[in-house]
Amino acid sequence: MSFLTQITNETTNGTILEDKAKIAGPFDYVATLKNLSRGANAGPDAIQDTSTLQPVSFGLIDGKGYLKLDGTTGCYASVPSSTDLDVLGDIDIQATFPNIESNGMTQTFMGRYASGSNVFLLQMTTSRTLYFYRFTKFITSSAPLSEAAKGVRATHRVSDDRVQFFETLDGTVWTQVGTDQTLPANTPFAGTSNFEVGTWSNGGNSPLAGAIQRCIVKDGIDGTPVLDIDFTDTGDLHGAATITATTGQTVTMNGTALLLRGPYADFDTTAGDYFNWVAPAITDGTLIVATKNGTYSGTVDMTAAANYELSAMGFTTDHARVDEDFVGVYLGPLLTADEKASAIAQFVKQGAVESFSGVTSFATRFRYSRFKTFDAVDSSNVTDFNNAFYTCDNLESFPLIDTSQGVNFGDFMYANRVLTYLPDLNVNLGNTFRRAFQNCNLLVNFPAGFFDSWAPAGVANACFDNTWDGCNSLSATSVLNILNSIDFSGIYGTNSGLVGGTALADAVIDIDYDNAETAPDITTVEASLLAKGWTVNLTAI
Amino acid sequence: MPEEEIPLTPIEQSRADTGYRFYLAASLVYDVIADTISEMRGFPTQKGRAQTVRALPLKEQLTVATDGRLMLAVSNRRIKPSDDELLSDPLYAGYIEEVVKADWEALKPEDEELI
Repeated sequence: MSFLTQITNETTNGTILEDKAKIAGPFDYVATLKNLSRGANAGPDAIQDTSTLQPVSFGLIDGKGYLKLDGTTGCYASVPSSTDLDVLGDIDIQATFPNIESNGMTQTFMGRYASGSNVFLLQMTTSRTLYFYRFTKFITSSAPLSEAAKGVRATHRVSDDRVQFFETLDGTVWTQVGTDQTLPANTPFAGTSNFEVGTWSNGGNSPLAGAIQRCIVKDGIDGTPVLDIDFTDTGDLHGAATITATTGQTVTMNGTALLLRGPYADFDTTAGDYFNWVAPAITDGTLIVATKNGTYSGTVDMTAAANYELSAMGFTTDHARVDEDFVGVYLGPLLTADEKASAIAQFVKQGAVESFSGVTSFATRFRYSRFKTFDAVDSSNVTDFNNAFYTCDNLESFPLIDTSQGVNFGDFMYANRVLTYLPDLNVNLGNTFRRAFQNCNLLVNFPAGFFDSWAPAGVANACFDNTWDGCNSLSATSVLNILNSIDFSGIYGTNSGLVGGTALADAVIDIDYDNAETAPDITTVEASLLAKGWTVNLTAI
Repeated sequence: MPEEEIPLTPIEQSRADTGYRFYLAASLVYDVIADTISEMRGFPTQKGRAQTVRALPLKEQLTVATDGRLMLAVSNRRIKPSDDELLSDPLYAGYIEEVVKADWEALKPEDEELI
């Protein structure tokens, strides 16, 4: 199946990369992103020849979505305990899935099983033996679940405690796994534990890695479903936090559990997945990175024949920071605004989300990226800009993005070594600017009034620690702009920012400025800041 | 025996909590182990125009821990039973060690602090 459907831009003959392996299925590792450009400057495919650094493709299965579970504790779907889930007599539980691989640990399909309320549970061990628990007792299957199984089922008849395990290879016909087993003597009880898919004990144990399409609990063998969750229901949107079961209950996705509705590549940020791509004979171009979290773009410089590392974050040498659900990338000759909009629209058709409007954190998101210019994105809900543009040292112009909700600006623009000015960003709610502009050694102009309306809910200790350290091009006027605006804000060097608050242990404002400039006269403003608990550490370098 | 009566070892708990196995490997044996795993997986694939050449990253691509060993994180789902067998081979005892995430992180060289 196609992981990402064919996209190309015949107007510009641009370079669009996508998954090469048309036969790639869900959970396959992606060795190559195919370059769909047909132009002379197309460049090659992007490749990753090391298995453990290859992203995983997640696609629809037979055109349907599913619940994606990553095999970590806390990653599960749940339904709150309620009396309509109580089955005291015969029970029939079923789960369907494309395949569940062994991952070296016991994995949980589903159950109502938590401390003090061990109602029922169905698991698979590392050897694929099935475990069935009910009413505090348990029994194992006498044979393993097939590798090719697309469903698992367990039934318990209370009259003689017979337990039968089944599997299906086609999703419809059930075949018994092993022989009939007998659950040890037990006493039925209703229990209070929540229903869980993928774990037990409220996400705490034996997580399952894989995709679950449907879970059913029946009152009686082949009886009436008391719970039927169809994770393939097309009425539910990608990433939905809750869905409604066919039987009416609210189902909640917990932790990293994801209701998947479209294809994407999952870059492993711990291992640091990326592709290598050798630039063609063009020296500047457009980069668009399309993900399910948002899409961003800008211009980039390239060196012909140079190798670039392409991660979910675009061109970057930092592959291990942001978890993006990667849909595609355009990388090629410069696009006009209309062409860019057209390319983004095509990515959106592939499942990408255009806006970051729902995103609250840009922490490390664009770190080490190779943008020369960066197109404004919707950052109106972002509170965390920590490291957002850290060492983006090709970024020579920066748009006036909406930073009005920003609280953490630590390392915001650390070590940008080409930017000469800063737009008048709204940092009114910022509680730390630690190292925000450190080593921006060409930054000359810092806007007047930058902190005039500064009104944070609190001030972090060392909030101006090294903030302008190493800014050895900063003009004397900029120094005064900084100090005057902090003073004008009326914020004190205390944890509340108010007079009477607890003094910050480090209330030093660190600024380096251009040694060739005439030293700014800070006498008046320094005295005023001192009265507010601040100390100025001004150094000409 | 009910699973809850068999507490996970710290290593097993780390695997479940993080989805990864965290290894520290002596540089001396890393190439041998990596080559063996590649061979077991059938890499390089498609000889002549291989897309996947090796299973594990090259030694040069790995971070060197503060104690000098190589740092490797592998997703649980990528570990095959045959890998387990190899990695627990007494031949490599003392040369490759699986540790919990916290211990692995503690050996990372100093990175830029995230505020």
